[in-house]
Amino acid sequence: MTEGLRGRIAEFRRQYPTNQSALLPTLLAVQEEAGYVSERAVEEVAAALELAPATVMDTLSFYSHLWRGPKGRHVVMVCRGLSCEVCGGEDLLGELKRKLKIGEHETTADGRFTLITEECMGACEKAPYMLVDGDGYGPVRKDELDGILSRYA
Amino acid sequence: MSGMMAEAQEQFVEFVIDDRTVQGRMGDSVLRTALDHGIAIPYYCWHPGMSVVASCRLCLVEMDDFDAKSGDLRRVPRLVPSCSTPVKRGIRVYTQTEKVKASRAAVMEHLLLNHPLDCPVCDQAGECWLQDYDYWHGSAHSRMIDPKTKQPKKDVGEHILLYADRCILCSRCVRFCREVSGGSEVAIVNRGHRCEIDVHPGCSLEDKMSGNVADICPVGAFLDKEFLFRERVWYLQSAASVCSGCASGCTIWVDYRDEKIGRFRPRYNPEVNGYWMCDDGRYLWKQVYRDDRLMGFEFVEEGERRAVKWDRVAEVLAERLREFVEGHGRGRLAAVLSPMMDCETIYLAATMVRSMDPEAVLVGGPEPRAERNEVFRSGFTINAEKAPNGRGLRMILEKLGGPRMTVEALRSALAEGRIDGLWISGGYFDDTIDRTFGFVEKPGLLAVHDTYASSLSERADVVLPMTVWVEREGSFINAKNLVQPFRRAVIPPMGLVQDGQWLAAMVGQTGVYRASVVRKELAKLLDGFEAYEPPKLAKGIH
Amino acid sequence: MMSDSQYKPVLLRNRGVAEVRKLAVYRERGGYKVLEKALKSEPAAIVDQVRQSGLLGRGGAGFPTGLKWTFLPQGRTKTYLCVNADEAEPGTFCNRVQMESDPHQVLEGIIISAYAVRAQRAYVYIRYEYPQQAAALESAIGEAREAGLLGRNILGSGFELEVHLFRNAGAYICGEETGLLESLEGKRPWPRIKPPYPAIRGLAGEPTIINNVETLTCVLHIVDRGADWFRSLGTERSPGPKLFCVSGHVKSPGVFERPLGVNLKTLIYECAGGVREDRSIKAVIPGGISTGFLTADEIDVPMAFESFTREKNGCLGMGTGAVVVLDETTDMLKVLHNTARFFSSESCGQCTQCREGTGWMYKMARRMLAGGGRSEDLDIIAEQTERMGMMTGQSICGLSDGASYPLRTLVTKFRAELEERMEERKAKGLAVA
Repeated sequence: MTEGLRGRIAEFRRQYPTNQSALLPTLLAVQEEAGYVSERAVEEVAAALELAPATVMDTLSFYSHLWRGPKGRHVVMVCRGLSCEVCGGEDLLGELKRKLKIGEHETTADGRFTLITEECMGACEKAPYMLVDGDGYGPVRKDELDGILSRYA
Repeated sequence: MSGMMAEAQEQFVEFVIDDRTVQGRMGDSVLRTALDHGIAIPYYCWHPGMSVVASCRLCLVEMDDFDAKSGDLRRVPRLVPSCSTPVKRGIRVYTQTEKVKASRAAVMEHLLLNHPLDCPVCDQAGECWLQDYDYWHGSAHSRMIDPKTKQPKKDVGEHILLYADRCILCSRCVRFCREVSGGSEVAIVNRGHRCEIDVHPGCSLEDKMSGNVADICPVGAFLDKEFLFRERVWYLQSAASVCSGCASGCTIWVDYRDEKIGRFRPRYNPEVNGYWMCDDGRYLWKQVYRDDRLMGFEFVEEGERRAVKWDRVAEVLAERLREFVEGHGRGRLAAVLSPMMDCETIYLAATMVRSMDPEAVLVGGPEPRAERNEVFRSGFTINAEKAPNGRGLRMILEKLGGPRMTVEALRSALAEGRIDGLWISGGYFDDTIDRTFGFVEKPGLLAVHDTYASSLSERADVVLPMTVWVEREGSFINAKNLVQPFRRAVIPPMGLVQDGQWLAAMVGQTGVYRASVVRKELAKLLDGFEAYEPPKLAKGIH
Repeated sequence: MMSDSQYKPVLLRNRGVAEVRKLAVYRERGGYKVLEKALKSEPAAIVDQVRQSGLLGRGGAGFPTGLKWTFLPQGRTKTYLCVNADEAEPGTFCNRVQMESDPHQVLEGIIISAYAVRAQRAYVYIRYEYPQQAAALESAIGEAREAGLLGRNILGSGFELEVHLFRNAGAYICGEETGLLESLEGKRPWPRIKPPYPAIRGLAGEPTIINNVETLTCVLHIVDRGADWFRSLGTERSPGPKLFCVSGHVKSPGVFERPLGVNLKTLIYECAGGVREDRSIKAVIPGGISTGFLTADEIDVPMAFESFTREKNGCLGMGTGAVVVLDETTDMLKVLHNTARFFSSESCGQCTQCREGTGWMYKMARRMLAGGGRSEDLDIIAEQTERMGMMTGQSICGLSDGASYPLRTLVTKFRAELEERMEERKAKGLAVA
């Protein structure tokens, strides 16, 4: 638990209406710093927010994008919503699996990319769509993938 | 009408369930009222001692309510959860319509989709709400041919196992830990059909209310390690009793089969323990089966220990005591009575000793204590006084009057040779007797009335085995001054009898011992002594 | 009813002006003038105006916004406004477009609405998958604060408001009003039992209004041009303009602003340029996946809340107005699988029928794709979707209703194809995709 994180927690408690409100932003902040939320982090967050560890675990385990174990440096999130699926999303995912040589929810051996899919990501007019970290790409053609991935070390 | 009557009238509202007119208490749910009237609406997640979540959807009913605009009674288009629907004058609730039955059948089918159906190896069988409700409301077939979602078995506490694949996600355990015990150790993890119950690694169920979680779990997910595979519940009978662990006096059920105790369970008591009991009390039944129990009446005669059969104890003991009083004179005998004893036994022992020696000194025995009460989130309290009947003891001795001493004074009296006959009562589950009476050297007469062997019982001239309270009937007065009776659950081990049996015989009562007879005497001695039986919980509320 | 090409957008009036994300440019184009106007009225007057306008919530439920605002207790001391930017209904992306291209307009709508409901704090609850949009809003909020459009004594009116973003971490159920509140309170986002409704007891137990992004932008325009203007657009029961998303097998997918009541065919063929490769339509979703599927003969219908009912076309309302077009080459079995997977993945797990029902539907759909589907599975789906959500009131929130309608319309309207596809796969012994 870094000083910086403690500062951010204090800020969250000021901004949001209850003490426990700060939990979700804190978990996201922990993940930003450490890549994921470990068991130890659960205990430290619980102590910092005066919550039981099980309560933290409860919230943490509900959301798709909170990780309880390590992930790669970059997350490739491919949309599996209906519009994307019917506009080539399956092909795109298949191509990524081939290129990265991993399956869904797996990380490349060099720790560079983790591949996940997510339900409709709200970019249906750009199907097939994907996010790499905070950058949105769509419509993605298979031949563009190398170029896109090369931007992420 | 007087003001008070009018007030009382306002607290109930009249409405209809099926074809019955019922009175519902203002603020109660429809479900609660139905259960109070013996109308069996099925439910899982609702529990009268915890918050309402209405998530299991089993208690759904049809209802006619008043239209907001026209004021007419009309059928509400949705089924309503009866657990979260407050009672209201004039509504009509239907629990047996086609829609309601279809809904229940759907819920039951859904809950069993991924259930392991391992009843033959599941402790809950016989008191399982899945079994019962599926039998009454569900079907015998599951239509899912796909593989079941499986969750692991988990060791989640000192006394508790979690077979997570049997869980129906009623969330009672989660709410219990959050609202009643306050430990918040149990949570739901994941989402949707991947939800399961879990504890954070290293933060398991270690608090003293953990056993209640297995009680409230309607299925065999949470299991009591001490009861695991021990007994099939349909063989168990239940005796209404009171816990002996502390002065809180939680009322309990003692479940037994053929004179062998299976387990303790809490017995609902709105004034004392509510729906709960603590683990210290819950596992107290093990004390019955300790191997250091005193197993026979023994008298030392001419330097030799001789066994005496129970039916001769009254006679032999009376003679022994008379002999002592004749030899040493009056006022030389001190009787230490124990707060572990019930009121009736204390009264009998004290009056018996005084009948042998009217100047016998009565001493209130030691009361083991913890540092402080343990209070949980809901207010449930484990008392610091670790004896069930300290108040009963004090009140009875005070009313009996006559020569009295404290244990400290007794110690001096012994040292100074003013007392040379000792009657010591025990019944403690710990080593209080050894610790307190270590100072006792060989007096003229040492009679020990205790449950477990001690250094004292080894040196005693008279050994009188005291039964464990579940082996006798009696009453305790708890920390709130409630006189709470308990019934006998099992018979004492071979060779022993209820203490009252031989004590009463010594003061002229014949026949089989009945505590109720002694209670009549106690009622004359103590003002307001009337045994209080807690109200019965409405049928079907667990 | 004006023709399609005559309508001049108001919600999307700044479309194409890239710099409008900056405060200065937004103001040049008339930005925050409506806020000035609003601050000169009484909050109650604005609430009344919104009521008169007949504005129906744009987030999917279509509840009358003005009516919702009147549920707030009179003597309250604290009020929260939560902006539902968790747009996650499959097919929907109009809030996203608003936030990324015109964040100040979104913000102005928020401030005006907060003033009307007398909120002191507003939280914009935004989905995890909109990081760029969140950044755009943060930037706009920062500029607004500096310019005195947020914070204490806004524009000298005495009105005080703080706006904060709150990020979801990936869960569709947080778009449900009370799921959103639970998430904002840091708890497991299991929707609450209602009553009590959020207007009475909402965020941290205080009176709270939750409205969709687009709804609050409509409020801005109602204050600007009046309730009568709003009513002059759309239909009697569904007044005003709407942002319609069109995606799937169309030539020009995107967001199109039209008055409510515009024909679905107009959206598909005129706005979105028609079907790709000029193919024929097999199925259309009218308002996000929860609303269900229409066949090709059912698309001649006005896009209004009252046009979509179970009786008329088997649909769960107009939803978010997010149109997804599926052409003749679409494999409807895969659509079934996609739908079943979505709801089983997003069911929060609280209510028995939704949790277990969606899980079961998904397992069946997977098996169907793998070649193990049976005709009776389709019977089971038809019957389950009768019990799971169609018999309303089965669950605490509407997700199970949303799961039932698409699955049921699929197995009733496309049964023959589903049977055929299952047979094909059985014959081939295909592996799961």
